[in-house]
Amino acid sequence: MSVSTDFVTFYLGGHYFGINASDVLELNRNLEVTPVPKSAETVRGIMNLRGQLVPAIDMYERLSLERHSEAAESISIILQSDGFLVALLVDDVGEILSLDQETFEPPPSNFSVISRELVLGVHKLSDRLLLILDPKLINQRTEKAKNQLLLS
Amino acid sequence: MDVVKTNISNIGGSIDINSKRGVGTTIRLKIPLTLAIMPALFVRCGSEPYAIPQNSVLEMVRLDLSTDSTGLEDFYGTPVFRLRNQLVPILFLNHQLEVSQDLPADDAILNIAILQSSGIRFGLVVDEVLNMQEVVVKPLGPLLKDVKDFAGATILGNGRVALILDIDGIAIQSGMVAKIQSRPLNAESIQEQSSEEDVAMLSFELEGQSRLAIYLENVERLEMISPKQVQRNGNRNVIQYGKEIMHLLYLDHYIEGAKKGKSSLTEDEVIPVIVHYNNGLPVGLVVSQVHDIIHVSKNLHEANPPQKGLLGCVSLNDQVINVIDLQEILMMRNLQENSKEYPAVIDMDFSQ
Repeated sequence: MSVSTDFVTFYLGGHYFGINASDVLELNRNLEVTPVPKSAETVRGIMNLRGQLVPAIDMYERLSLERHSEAAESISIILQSDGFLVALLVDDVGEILSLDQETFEPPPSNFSVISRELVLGVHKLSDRLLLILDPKLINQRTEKAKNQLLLS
Repeated sequence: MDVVKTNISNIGGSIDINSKRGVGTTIRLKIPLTLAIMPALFVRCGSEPYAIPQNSVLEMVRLDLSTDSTGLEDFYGTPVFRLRNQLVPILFLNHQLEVSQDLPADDAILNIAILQSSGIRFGLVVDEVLNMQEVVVKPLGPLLKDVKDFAGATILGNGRVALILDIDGIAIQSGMVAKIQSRPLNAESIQEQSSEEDVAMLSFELEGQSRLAIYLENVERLEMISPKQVQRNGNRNVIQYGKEIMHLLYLDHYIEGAKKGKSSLTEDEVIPVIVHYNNGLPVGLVVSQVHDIIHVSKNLHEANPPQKGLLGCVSLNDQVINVIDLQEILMMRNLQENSKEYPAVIDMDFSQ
């Protein structure tokens, strides 16, 4: 017996990511981001989502991916993470996939630390792999801040 | 009551009820400040607008480094400037926010907001002063709470987000508070003396009367208006002031010795107006030029014989400054209004 789950998929720097659709509130295009000076690198700024302030996460920074194109990501995925709203800035969104547990596999152990704590696992699709992100961890502090906490 | 409690707790507040039979009931609602509305001054730094809570703003100063004889000075590594013979330390907002590291040119004009925080007074240099506006404070959320420079954010009328500066946070982070507390800039005695014996006045001038002053407590705001804004209401000149109509009162008509009616005003000239609230209504006192805030002795030398519109005079640095009698001026204006005769004093019409 297998339970299938819906995933919202998106593209970022050539990678294909998925996030549990039940955490996603909406997708939005071209929201204006107000930069916050002195904030963590991973936070691009804040945006106004119908009167609510939502921090915009620079997913390239959060996942330590290398940026290939100069064009800024224009699509934001608004999701509930750890009780708060966050917006993930991504290159493009794909379709919503319904996937079974059968194709799921935990992340390989040779993943980098940052990726491993965010990536729950991988779904093996017929043509490529889909990395599943953990929405709860996206909202958490940056790696740097965490290390400082550990040190102190 | 249940609905109220649910909604108040939803926004993070609380309700206390204290009831005693035969005495009464006290209901105390606590609503977090982050949802409060407060007036704020908007300034620009780099390309972004920022809001400064108005309760920490003392005054705004425009410092022209090319004409100011002393300009910026250095006091144990803190830049300071002289404001009415008191040294005021300054911070550059663009440095504090790490937006840029530019230092002002030698002939730059600095816009300085004089702020009060943690018991010290300091100037914050901003790129531009925008406007005053009431803002609803919204919290920044857990991701950004580490940034101590901001107290929150607000959403502007055009849908954009503007950050609200945390003045205490900025002052403490800059390390200036500790520096100043260990080395006071101005001797304490001078400050105490000034608070006990002195009174603050705003000095201004009229045509023919160069040195006049009004008690600062009578001044609500200063405005620059354009002659185009002036409209007629009966025999009065008024302007639209926010949601209210503000009557203009030409001080030169009421004060002895002032030349009446400076006639030819061009379209692009501006009229400085001192806004005073009389019985809750704004009255604009039209003057030729506003000078500065001065601290003078409380003791007035009474004018003898009494002079029309003047309360008395004070001396400051060997100069005599006439203090206007606002009550008498307002009364004169009303008398003139109630009499059926054609007023002896006619308010000038700029439109002709």
